[in-house]
Amino acid sequence: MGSKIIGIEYVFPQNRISNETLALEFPDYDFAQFESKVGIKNRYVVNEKQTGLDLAVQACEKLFERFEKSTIDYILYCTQSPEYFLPTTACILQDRLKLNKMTAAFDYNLGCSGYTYGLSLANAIIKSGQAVNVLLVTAETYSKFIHPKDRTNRAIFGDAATATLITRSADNEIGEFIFGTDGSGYDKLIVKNGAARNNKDPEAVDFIYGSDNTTSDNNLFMNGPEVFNFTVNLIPNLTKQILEKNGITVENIDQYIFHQANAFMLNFMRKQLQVERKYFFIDLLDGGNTVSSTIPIALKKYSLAISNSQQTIMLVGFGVGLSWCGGVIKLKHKL
Amino acid sequence: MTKQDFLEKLKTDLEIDSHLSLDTEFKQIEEWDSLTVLMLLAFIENNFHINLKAKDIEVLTDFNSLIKVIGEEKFN
Repeated sequence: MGSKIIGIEYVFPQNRISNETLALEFPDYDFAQFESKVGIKNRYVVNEKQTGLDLAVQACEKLFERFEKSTIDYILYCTQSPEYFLPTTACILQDRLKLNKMTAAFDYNLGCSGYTYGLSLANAIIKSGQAVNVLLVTAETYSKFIHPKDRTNRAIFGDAATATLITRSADNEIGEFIFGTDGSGYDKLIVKNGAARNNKDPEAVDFIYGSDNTTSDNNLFMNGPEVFNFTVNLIPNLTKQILEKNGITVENIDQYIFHQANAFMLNFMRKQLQVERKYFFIDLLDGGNTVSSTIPIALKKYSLAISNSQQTIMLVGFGVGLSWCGGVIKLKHKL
Repeated sequence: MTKQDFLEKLKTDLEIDSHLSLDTEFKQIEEWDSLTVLMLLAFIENNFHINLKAKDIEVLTDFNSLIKVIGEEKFN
């Protein structure tokens, strides 16, 4: 007995920020080059009153147009943009969706490695007989953390939510996953103020970093070069470990779907792994880097583009934490 | 690898369309930016197992000076 993914839906907020819009605010920057290199044209951001949970509700409702919501018995909610310190956002989601009260629900705080963690966990929960239908939700609104003058992060990150339904099945379609953590890099991608360690500081000073970006300790900070180095050094060995753990070789992989961080970096990793373009998914043109939502969005898009033959897909998430998780799934149908 | 192979491989891996020669200055390359420097560092690490930092590249001007840092003996 195993489990499989039977459906994925995603939503972006309505406010579309194009490169042309950003160019009005940052006239000295070459957004045409940014688009061809980083591979992002539009990103979407929530308005002031809208939250990750609001997006999550929309994504789940879209999913429930196709699947019966009364069968859900477990919610895994991945976010770094919770509604409150407490209570748990997943509990509020249960009520907003009017799901059965016999539903387990909890949040977990991960970023770009969150979706692959969630799949592995959902599979384990189902295989051990604790649930039959797991609703895995990713919802992130980094736009609320990003300093208005932080050009790079405003150009890279977009808000989004996704909902995935994983169900018990005789087909064992979710394979083995590999995990990793290096907390020594906790400050490479961080919002320093506002939680328990440091209060939000109304007098936090702005500082310049990276390629002429502005942020403060109340806002998101990313050490791009270090995160990049971490990633390119990690990936070759990690993909090898994933193949070994699943008892397969590169020839068995029909598609590599990595966290869609940045097209240029993904392409570079693709070449290091010597994978042909057609086997390696890169598409973040519309939406940008949506943190834990990039992999489910990519998986959905990929599934719609293929015929119904069985596919073996490697999924790899990496980033904030620093944290990483990757594994292999099988896919026989559109999601 | 030869110096010419090095330039060719760089062009492919870093997706540089402009012509490169050993005395091409980095600042003349249209695609050159902070992201290119990161790719270059990873490229050197992967191909020569030398761990350079962005600041090591900042003081260099062209591919001749880069090859000196990597080590002339690594090329044939």
